[in-house]
Amino acid sequence: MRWLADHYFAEGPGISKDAPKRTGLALVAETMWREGIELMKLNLIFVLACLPLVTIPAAFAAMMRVTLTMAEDRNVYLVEDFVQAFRRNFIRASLLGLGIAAALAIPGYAAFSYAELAVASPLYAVPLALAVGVACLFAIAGTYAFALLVISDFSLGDILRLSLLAALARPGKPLAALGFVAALWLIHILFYPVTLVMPAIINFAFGTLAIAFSVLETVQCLVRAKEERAGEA
Amino acid sequence: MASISLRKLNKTYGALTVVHDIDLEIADKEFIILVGPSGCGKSTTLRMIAGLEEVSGGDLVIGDEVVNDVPSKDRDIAMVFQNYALYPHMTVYKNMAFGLMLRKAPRDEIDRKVMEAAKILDIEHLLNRKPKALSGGQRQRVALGRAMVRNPEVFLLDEPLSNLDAKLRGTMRAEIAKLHKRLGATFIYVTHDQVEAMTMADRIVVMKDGHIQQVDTPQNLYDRPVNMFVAGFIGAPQMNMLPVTILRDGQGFVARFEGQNLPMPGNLDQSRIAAYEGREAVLGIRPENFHEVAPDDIPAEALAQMSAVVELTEPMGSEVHLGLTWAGRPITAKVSPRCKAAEGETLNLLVDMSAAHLFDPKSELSLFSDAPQPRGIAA
Ligand SMILES: Nc1ncnc2c1ncn2[C@@H]1O[C@H](COP(=O)(O)OP(=O)(O)OP(=O)(O)O)[C@@H](O)[C@H]1O
Ligand SMILES: [Mg+2]
Repeated sequence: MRWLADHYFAEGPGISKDAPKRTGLALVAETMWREGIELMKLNLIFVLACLPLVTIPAAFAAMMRVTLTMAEDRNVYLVEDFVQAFRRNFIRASLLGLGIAAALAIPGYAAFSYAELAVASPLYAVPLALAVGVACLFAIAGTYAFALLVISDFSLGDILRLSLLAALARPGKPLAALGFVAALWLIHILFYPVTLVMPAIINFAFGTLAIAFSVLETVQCLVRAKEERAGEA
Repeated sequence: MASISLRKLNKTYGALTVVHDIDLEIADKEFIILVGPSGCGKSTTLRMIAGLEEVSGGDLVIGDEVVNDVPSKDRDIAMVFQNYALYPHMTVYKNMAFGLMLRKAPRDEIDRKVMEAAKILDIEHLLNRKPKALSGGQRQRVALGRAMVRNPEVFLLDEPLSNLDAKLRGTMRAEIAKLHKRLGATFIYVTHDQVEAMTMADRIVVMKDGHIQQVDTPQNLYDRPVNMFVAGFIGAPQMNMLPVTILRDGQGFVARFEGQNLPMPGNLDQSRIAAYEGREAVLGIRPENFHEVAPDDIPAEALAQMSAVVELTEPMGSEVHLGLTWAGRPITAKVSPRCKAAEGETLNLLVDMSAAHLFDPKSELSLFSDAPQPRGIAA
């Protein structure tokens, strides 16, 4: 016990003031490591907040808000920040959530149908790929849209327009983040039941943090651009 | 207003009394330093002021309120501990904000205060880090920051720099002194380190065995220690103590040490010395009052010739500490590095008797001080 405590309280090497800040994946990994416990708590809160089902979009928006703050390397007050974002964005998040669900449903259903047909005839691979592509595009736009929703006070129309543009212009990082999310779920399924608790404490929050990192820069650019335009007007 | 009065303050643990009847008036915005050997009750006194330790007897007054029974959290006081006591699972920001969060302070106020403190202490880049990776000095700053954000009228610091290396201690010393000026708060600071005490304090409180020996400005403590304990405690290396007999010599007096007459120059209070004529006394001479050549600013009649055998030389760079035997007595002298004395050699030095101290061998009190005898000194 003693050495454990000593180890726990031992002095570290110190953090130099002008040490280069980690960037890219290293920064993501560092943040996940540092905020690990907080992220697990966040995941639990999110799951609880989703239980009434109709609250899912608002809960996701709130989780997005908290993980964006972590990605910005600012202090997070977990429960307060979550509740505040949940309340503030409830209606807009619900509308946005419905819209995105509907938008995803069409190419999703199409992809599903073409996939069945493609088994019979390879000719259908082309429309299948198209449907999958559109579904991915909408999913990426959805991540941008939720980030814009919680970080700015843009109208829903602006958010939809900007997030679609952003998804077309910069799809790479969010796509990778969505890949990370898919990987988390794949691990959960492959190693079930060892990974029984993963969705309760890991999948949602860690996945959302990855998404938050992937969209942060672009979203900040959009907000700044809009502010500058407002300043000029 | 954050003046603090300790009135006959006592602390007992069962039959053991560790703080005896301490009387101390601390002015608003003063920087007070408590020094004394290990176990003399410094921390206990500080903890009583903080409200972390119950007062066993006497009154503790802050402002004009007796706060004996006021719980710690309701005193306008922040304490910085020796081991920092940071929460390892919280980020630096949260460590600093924690007290304010407990008090349900508004969020933007917390944010503003944490940022402000972080800026003053130059730890803005650490706010979202956990203490684990921080060095000792950085942790110390965080601990200070945590005290600062509460904006207290009184800061209590218990050996805050003792875990730091010498270089860092120097920088932090300067920063704490700056902080005191900047915050305009009352500081009560405990240390073992004489340099810290001498350089930072408005007044120093010297304690021994739970008793206050002397309270005075650093310079006065050095120039006019009230007893042998304070004289030996303040100044490094320690003051040399020699047994002498006071004898009349024409108009004046001399101190007779091992067959040698040492002058008692006119700047020393002759009437006090006269009271000891024919009696034994203890002569105190600081190591820095030995000289190889006569200094210009000391009259020749105040200088006494002496010769001693060099037993040990300790070069310190800017000065040399010599371990000498003078008439069979071991003494220490501080001389310039130009002094090329070799061990075993006999060395002639001049003693500046105008800076001499005299003590009563029984009570150990200074002959030149009017201070009442502190208790706890063997009589
Ligand atoms: N809870 C306690 N029960 C009994 N005795 C105690 C208790 N706490 C402290 N003491 C004793 O009180 C005396 C004063 O302790 P204190 O910690 O105030 O000393 P200090 O001057 O701060 O010493 P240091 O320089 O070593 O920190 C010590 O002799 C110590 O053993
Ligand atoms: Mg102590």
